[in-house]
Amino acid sequence: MAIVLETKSLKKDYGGKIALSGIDLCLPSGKIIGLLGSNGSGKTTLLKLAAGLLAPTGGEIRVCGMEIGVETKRAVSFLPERTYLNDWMRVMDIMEYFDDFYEDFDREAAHSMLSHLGVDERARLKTLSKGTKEKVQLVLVMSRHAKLYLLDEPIAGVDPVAREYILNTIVANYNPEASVIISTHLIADVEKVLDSFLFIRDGRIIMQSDVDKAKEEYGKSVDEIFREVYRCSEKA
Amino acid sequence: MFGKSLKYEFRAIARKVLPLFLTILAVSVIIGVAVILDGRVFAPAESTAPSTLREILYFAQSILLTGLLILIFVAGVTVLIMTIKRFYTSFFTDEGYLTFTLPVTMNCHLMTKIVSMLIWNLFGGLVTAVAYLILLGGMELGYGAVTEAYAVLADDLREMGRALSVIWDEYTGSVILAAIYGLLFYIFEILLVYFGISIGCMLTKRHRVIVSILCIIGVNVVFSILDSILMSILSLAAFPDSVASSFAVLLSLTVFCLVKGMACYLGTKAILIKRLNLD
Repeated sequence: MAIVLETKSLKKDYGGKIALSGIDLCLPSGKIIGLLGSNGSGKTTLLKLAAGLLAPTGGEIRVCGMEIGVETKRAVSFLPERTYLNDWMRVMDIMEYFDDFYEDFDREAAHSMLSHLGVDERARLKTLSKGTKEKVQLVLVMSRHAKLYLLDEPIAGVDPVAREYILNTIVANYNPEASVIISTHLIADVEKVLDSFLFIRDGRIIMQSDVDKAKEEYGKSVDEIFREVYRCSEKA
Repeated sequence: MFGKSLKYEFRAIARKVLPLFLTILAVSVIIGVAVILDGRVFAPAESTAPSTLREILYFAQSILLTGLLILIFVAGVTVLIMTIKRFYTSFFTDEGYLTFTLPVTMNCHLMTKIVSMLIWNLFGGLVTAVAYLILLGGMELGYGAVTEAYAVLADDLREMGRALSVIWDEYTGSVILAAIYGLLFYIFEILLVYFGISIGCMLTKRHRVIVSILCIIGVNVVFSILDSILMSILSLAAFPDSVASSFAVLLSLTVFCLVKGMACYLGTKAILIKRLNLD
């Protein structure tokens, strides 16, 4: 299996406040990986570094064997926690935008998902509700045939029905040769779609495992394992 | 990718600026028609049109002309504000998540902003010129005033042309240099604003507008001090005549403007690549 994301002693601090302290990772392709941790544990920082939105303070980070740059941005499809859509555009304009900039954008797939959602492509983005905007953003991100999908808190702040839709969309649309990293603290909701997971705390990876292997070993759900491991690392 | 970036940047600004430009042209056409109407219908000695109507027309013309001048001013300010606002929203708001994850280099992002700003300014100048020509056309068709006026002015213009020709022949280098300096100075001023905004947004996540304005003023003060030092050094140098002295000053200002512009550009680029952290 090819390696899609690799880090060596990856560090990031914000003016003295350490966000990541020497992370070593090697994530293969073809997996849905949960990046699980509480708020402020370093999940978003790790994703931002992989997406090229931040520069590391130390260490190395590579996507598909390449240093972060224009080429890795072609390979990465990033869904931030925030809504980044240009409000003045129509839905069809933002689709054209993605089509123009990303060679791997599948307009037909996007069109199909949007019509399934009942989103009018002629509607201006500013007229859509926050939830619909988030769905449009997810559709755009998942309509790319990327090698690495980075989804930052995709189900935070949405109702259970929308969570179901989002997770189904992720599973149904991701390319099996690619990998998906889902960052979240809502573990119980996502664990059913995960192949493997990473627990992150205070900028360190405290556990990394396949979901099935961990469940077999602990005899518990990922959510329960997370609570146990977090308690242990807190005591330590 | 540069072409694609420019296309969307152009569209983003067009939605605010283009309606203003179209209004300027429409108002100038209305004034032109009113002038023609006045010249052809009301002004002739044999005209039987009531004088009240002519007074109303004059009043409407003066209001529209004032409105046109205000519109031209507003359009200029809008172009400036929109180019600065686009820089801020593209890079420092949530839209930055989209901007910086595009497979586009930082040089391409910055050049898009600069070229777009220059094109819109050029476009604004062209619209103003066309509006002026429409007014002249109205005067010509209405009263034959332009022909008459230019007949009187023709000699003066020819004289001025001869004088300019002499200046061009004798000071070609200085004239070209002055044009280059003017362009560079304009680009530098915008880069200075971009640099100030970048520093301001790097320093704080709150009160970004005020901090950015203070940073722009601060950087400007630093550059002004450096300008003064440069001028003081130049004043110490001995030149054979005033022409050589002026040329040397202009050349130094141009080179220094280029250096300052590069410093602002590279500073902005470094902040965006190394120091930016979107919320």
